[in-house]
Amino acid sequence: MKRWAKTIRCVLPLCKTEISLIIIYLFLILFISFFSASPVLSSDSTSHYKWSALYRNDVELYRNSQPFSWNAMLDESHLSDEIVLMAKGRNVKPFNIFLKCSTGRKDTESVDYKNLFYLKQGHIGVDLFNKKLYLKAYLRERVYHSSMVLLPVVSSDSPYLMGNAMGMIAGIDAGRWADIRYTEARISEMNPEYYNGGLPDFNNPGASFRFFNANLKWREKGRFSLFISETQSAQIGEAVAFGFSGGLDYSGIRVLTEYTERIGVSFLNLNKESLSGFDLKKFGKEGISQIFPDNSAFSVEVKGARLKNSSLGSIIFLPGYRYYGVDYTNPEGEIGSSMVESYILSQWRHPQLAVTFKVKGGDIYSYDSSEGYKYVRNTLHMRFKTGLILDGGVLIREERRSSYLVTIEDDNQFSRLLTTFRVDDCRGENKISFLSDGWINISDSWLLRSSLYLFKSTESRYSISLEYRPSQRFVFMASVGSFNPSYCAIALNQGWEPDLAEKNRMIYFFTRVWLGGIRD
Amino acid sequence: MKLERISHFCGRYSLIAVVVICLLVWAGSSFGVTLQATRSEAMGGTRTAFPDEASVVFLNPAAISNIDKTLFYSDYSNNRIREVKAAFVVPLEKLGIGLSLCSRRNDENEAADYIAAGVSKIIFSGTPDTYIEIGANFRIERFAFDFYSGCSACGETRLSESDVTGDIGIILRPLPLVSFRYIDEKVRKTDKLDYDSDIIGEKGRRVGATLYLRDKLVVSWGREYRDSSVINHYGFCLKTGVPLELMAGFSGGEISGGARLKWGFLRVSFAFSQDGKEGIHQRISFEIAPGRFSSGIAE
Repeated sequence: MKRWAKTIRCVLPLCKTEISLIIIYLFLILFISFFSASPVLSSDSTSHYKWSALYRNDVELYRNSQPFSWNAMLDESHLSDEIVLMAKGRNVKPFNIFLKCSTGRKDTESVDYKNLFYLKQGHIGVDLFNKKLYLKAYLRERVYHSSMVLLPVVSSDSPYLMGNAMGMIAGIDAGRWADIRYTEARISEMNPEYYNGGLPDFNNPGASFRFFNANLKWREKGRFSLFISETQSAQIGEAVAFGFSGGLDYSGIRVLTEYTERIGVSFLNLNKESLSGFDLKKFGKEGISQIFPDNSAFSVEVKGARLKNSSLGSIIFLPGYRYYGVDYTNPEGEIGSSMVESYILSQWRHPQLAVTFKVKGGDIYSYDSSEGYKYVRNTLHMRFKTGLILDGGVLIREERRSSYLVTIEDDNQFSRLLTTFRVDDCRGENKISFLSDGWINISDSWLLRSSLYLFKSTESRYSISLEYRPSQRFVFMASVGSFNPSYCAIALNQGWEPDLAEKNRMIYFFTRVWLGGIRD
Repeated sequence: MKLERISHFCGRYSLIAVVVICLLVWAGSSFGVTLQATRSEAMGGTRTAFPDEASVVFLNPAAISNIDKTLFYSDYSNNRIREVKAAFVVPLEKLGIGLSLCSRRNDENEAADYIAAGVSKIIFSGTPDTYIEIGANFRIERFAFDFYSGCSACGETRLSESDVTGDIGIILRPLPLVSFRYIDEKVRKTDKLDYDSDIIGEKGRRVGATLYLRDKLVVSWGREYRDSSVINHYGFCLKTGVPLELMAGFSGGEISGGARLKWGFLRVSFAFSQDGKEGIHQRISFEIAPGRFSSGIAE
C-alpha cells in the first residue's frame, strides 16, 4: 500500500488538467472495486476471469569455434528464465483489465535485474455504450494491429503505445460516421520496468506525447482524418506534428493520401507563421517534390484500378508517390531517410491457374546520398496443386548491380522446405547467396529443423535444431549452429541486398510451459 | 540374343569378376582424382549414390547393381578446374557394369584424363530393400603437364604419366530406412611424379550413412579420411510435389546446394558449392534414360 500511495503522490502533481485528475481517480476506484468484488481468480470457462502462467527458459552457450577460423569468440554462456503471470477480466461489462507480471533471472551484471517481480504490461479500460465510448489506461501496451495507411504516425498512434510507454487512450466511435481518439503517452528512460516494481514511473519520463486524431467517414466512400501531436523530450525538445489523411472511393478506384509537417515549437506557441504548407509556385521541372517544405512528408496511392477479362484474368495497377523531406523526423524523434520516390505496381493474375505476376517500377532519389536511380522489380508467384510454391524475381537498378532471385517452397504434412537462390551482380562478378530452411516431422511431437545459408559466395552459416512440442502448452527446443535463419530470410527475399548473420557458433536451449487460457 | 548370352555368362561368373577387379584395383597405384557428381556435390559432397544416375560408377561402384535400366550421365564444371565427365551403365541379369570417362584441365595447362570400368554385385538380398552389395571400378589415368628443364633454348616440354587405379565400395542396407557405405578410393599422389597439382587428388577412404524417409527425403552423412585431414559431409535431397528435387549440404564449414529437374527421359541438374574465399564452384549435368526413370531412392 505504501508503494501505491507513493505512486499516487508522484502521479497527482504531474497531472496538468482537472480532466486528467478525474480520469485517474475514476480508474483507481474502478480498479479497487474490480478486485475487491472479484472471487478467487479462476480459469473456468464460465467465469469472468482468465488467467495464465508461463515459464520460459533460455540457455545460450557460445563456443570457441576451433574448427572454424572465422570465429574467434571465447566460450561463454547466457542463462535467462522468466515466470509470467497474466490475468484478464472478461465479460465484466463495461470494464476490462489485463495484468501481466513477471519475474526471473537474466544473465547480467546488474543485480537489480535479478529475481525482481514487476508489472511487465497491463491496462485497465472501460467501454461504454457498446464500445462507442472507451477509455483505457495502459502500461507498455502491446500493439497487435497498426492502422497505418501510408506514413507512420499520421494514421496510427501505435508508435506511442509500443516500447516503454505508459499513458491513456480515450475515444469516441460514432459508428459509420466518425471516430475521435486521444492518446497520451509517457516514455520513461532506460529499463524502468525493473525499477519501481514495473509500476508507472512518472517521476522520470524521457519524453511525453499527446496525439489527437479525428476521423470522418462518408458512407464508406470517403474518409478524412486529421491529426495533431505534441512531443516534449529532453533529447529532441518540443515539437508539434500535424497532418491529414484522406481517402476517396469513386467507381472502385480509391485515392489515399497523407501529409504531415513537423514543427519545432510547443502546441501553445503554434501560430499561423509556424506552418509552412504547400508552395505551388515552386512546382517546376524538378518535379512535384519542390512544392513540399523540407520538414514535411507526403504520400499518395491510387488503388483499385484494374482491367478484367474472363480469359486473361485481371491486371491491377497501383501507382504511388512518397516524399520525405530533408528536415523531416517522425514525431517521436526518429530520423528517416529523406527521399522522393514515384512508382507503379502492376499485378496480373491468371483466372484459372494460381499464377501471379507483379512488376514494380519506380524512380527513387535519396537526399542523404544525393543520388537517384530508376528500378524495376519483377516477381512471378506460382502455386502448384501439390503444395509447391515457386517465386521468381528480378531486381534491376539503373547504373547499379542487378539481382535475380528464385524461391521454392515445398510444404506438406511431413516436411517443409524453403529454398532461396539469389544472384547479385557485384561489379561484373556474380555473387551467389543461398538459404535452405526446412523441417521434417519425425513424429507427431518431434520436429527437426535445419538451415543452411551462403552469403555472397564467401560466407557460410548453418543451424540445426530439434523441437519437442507434445501440445501447445509445452515446447522444448535444442539448437546448434552459427546463425539464426529468421534474421536473414527477409533481407534475402525482399531486400536490396542480402544480409549477413553474425558469426556466433552457439548451442541454444529453450523451454516454454504455458498454463491457463491467455496466449502470450 | 547376343546380349542375353553375355548377360548369362557375366551372371555366372559375376562374383569372381568382381573379386578379381577388386584385387587388381588394390594392386594398382595412382595419382588419382577425386570425382564428384552433381547431386553429390549439391548434398555437401556426401558421395551418396543414387540408383537412377550413372554417376555411381565413380561415386560408389557398389551401387551399380541397383540400376535397373541403361543410363547415361554427363556433367561439366568450370572453376579453377575445368572438368567434363560422362558415365554409362548397363544392367545385366545378375551384374551391373558401367563405363566412365573424365577429362580435367586447370589454368596451368595441367591435365588429367581417365577411363574407368566398374562392376558390382548384390551378394546378399533379404526382404525388399535390404541387401549387401560390393563393387569396384578399374581405371587408367593419364596426367600431363608442361615441364621446364632449365634450358631456355629448349623451352617447355610436355610430359605425361599413366597409371592404373580404382575404387572399391561396399553398401550395407540392413533396413529399408537406412544404409551404410564404405568406399576405398585407391588414390594417392603418384610416386612417379613429385608434383604438387590441384587436379591430383589424395588417397582416401570414406564411410557414410543414409536415411530414407517416406520415399521423399534422403538425408546423408559422410566422413572422409584423407592423408592430411578428416572432413565430415552432411546433405539432404528432397523430392518436391513437382518433378523437381532440391538439395543442400554442408561440408567443412562451407555450404552447397542444387536442384534437379525431370522432363520425360531427360534430367538436368545444377549444383554449386562454396570454394573457400575464391567464390563458387558450379556444376551442371544431364542424364538420359530410355523409358521412365525409377523412383530415385539413394543407394
